[in-house]
Amino acid sequence: MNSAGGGSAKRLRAAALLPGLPQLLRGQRLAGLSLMSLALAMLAVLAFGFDRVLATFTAGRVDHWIAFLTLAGTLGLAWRLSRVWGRDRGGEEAAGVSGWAIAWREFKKNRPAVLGLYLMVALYLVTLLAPYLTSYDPTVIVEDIASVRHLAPSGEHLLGTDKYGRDVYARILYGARISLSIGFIAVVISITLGTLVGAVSGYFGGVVDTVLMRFVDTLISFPRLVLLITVIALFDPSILVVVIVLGLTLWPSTARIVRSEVLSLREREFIEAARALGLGSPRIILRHIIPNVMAPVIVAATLGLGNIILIEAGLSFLGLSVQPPTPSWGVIINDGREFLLDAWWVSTFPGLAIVFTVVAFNLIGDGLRDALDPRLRM
Amino acid sequence: MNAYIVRRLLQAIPLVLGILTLVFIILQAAPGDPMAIYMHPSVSPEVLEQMRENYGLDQPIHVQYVRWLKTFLSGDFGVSVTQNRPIASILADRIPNTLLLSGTSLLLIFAIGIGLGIIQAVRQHSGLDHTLTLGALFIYSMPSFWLGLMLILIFGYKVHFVEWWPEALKFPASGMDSADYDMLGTWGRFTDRLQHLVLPSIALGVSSAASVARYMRSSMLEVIRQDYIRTARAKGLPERTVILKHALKNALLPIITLLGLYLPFLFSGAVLVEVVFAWPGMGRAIYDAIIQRDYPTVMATTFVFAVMVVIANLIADILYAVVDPRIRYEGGRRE
Repeated sequence: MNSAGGGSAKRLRAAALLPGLPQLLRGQRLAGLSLMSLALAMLAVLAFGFDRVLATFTAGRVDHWIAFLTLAGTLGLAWRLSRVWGRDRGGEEAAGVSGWAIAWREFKKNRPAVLGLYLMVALYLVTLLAPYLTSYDPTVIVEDIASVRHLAPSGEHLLGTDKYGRDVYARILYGARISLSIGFIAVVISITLGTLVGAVSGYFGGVVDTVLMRFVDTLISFPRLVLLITVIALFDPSILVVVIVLGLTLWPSTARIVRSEVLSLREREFIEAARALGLGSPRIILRHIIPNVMAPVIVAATLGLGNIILIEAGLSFLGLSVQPPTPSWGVIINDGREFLLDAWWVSTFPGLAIVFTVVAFNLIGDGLRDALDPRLRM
Repeated sequence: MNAYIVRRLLQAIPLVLGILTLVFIILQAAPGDPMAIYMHPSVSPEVLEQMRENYGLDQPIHVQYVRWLKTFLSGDFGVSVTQNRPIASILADRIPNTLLLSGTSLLLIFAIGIGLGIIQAVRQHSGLDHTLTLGALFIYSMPSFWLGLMLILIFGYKVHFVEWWPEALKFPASGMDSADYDMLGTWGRFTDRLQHLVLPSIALGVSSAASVARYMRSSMLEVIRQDYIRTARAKGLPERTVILKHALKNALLPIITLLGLYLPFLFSGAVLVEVVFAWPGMGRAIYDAIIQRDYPTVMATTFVFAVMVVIANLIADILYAVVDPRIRYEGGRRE
């Protein structure tokens, strides 16, 4: 493979103009197709939304600039990666392979999981590029509502309009931001908290363990959504309250998983050695215990992300999350509920968006579980 | 066996106490004065002070806590501010409806989940297996309230205009019974209620059914690999008997523990599904109470929901001990 002649080297160099092409020519299909589709997608956004991209420099909203940076950054990254990966990497086989690299190799073999990863990357790109993908504003209500409300899906309004004449496609695009970012932050909070509590509980055992685990049992006894709406109802629902409450109520299951891992981990020799060296408990927990329970935690986080997105959708459907007119997927579904029979498209499409997002996270989560923790394979 | 049940019951007591304490803490942490609803220019501060004393709100917090525990445990949840009737009587009306809905759903979940799981395990790696796995993934990722809306749209509305569609499969869009329910005979009432149950229980249950199918598949696969199944096949029993009589019994064991696991999910979903289908259950009650800012009702409903989960877990554990004698003799707790 490395004995390519001068001619094909030149061909490779020429091919490097289009990201992914060198990889494809070498037979690295996954890397090649990923890079190429990424680059082509960005070019398509540029081509179809050229006016909107140009508007960045005249209108200059923060939104537009973020989108512009994403567009340029992704293109540049695809091109750069294509160059870097295109170089000869003869020394790779000789170097040691870390556990994470092995997991990644396993993960790559899992087609559904890779598909989920693609979906997730696409979703996050869409949230960042939203202003370039539609020219409609998701919240502005035009004065002449009667002529634009409840329009069926068409070329002009891809997914129709809602009861205020707002473009449903634009609302779903911008709603993705709320749903995805709330989910992400809440998962980070709850995973961090759950890992810490679980590690402390498992490591110290005894009274600490009993008290913490009884508390976890109590929290788990509440139907999740009921506890959430009860707490949120006491405050005025806002993004901040929802994120914090979601983060605070979803940690118990992580704590349980981590605790059971730590119970066996703390009996192992390397922890005993750390203790013999006189290291303090905080240091042992943070530096030696937690890194070793990361695999199940990451799996729980990915699967939890899908769950949290579902829960957030339910909360905003009940009107207990983001407040209108800010779009979130649950809010849009609730908007369409009143006129479900006349304008089915308003409620249907955001629901599909939720389904595909959650499917993506579940696919990735399952793939990660298989790759990181073969014991849990079902 | 009795010793096991008693031990399990004793373990539930601190749990209920914990639930009560948490509800109390949430109530206390709530911003705002509980007397705020009575504040009005025409009500003098002295009267407010007097009311505060009557309600015991001037007492130190631990005294309030103990008094509150006593009243709550005796089933006195106070009076609903908006409906002006005891919360206990509101809940007494609503609990059977929620139990009916979740019970039907639970039946559906286990019937569908176990059935599909067996089919998938028997036909492992076939096209059917992969299709069902993929379908389960999508159904599992669906929000129940959205599925409910889609079911209403299709089976509660669109099909009513399709001539060839069988009358029995045209379902009512919402509510618990038809307008003429009281005029119907016993059989008529039963079928009417059943018709109203179909769509909400599907919306509530299918996502869990998909995950039960997944567990059932792996549990079944584990069992049919065992020696006694090979023996059963070797002595010439038909495959049907081997699977349904010999393998199923053992494959079902771990599925029973799922019963307790799914109930909190079902109750969570019930809040959304009851709102979508205008089903007069506890979920609907807590939603209405939140909208009307009727906090005592919210708290009482939350408490009852949690206690119902504890009871369901108890029942699941006892059931498990009945079918699997090993559990009774091991230490009380399962991880």
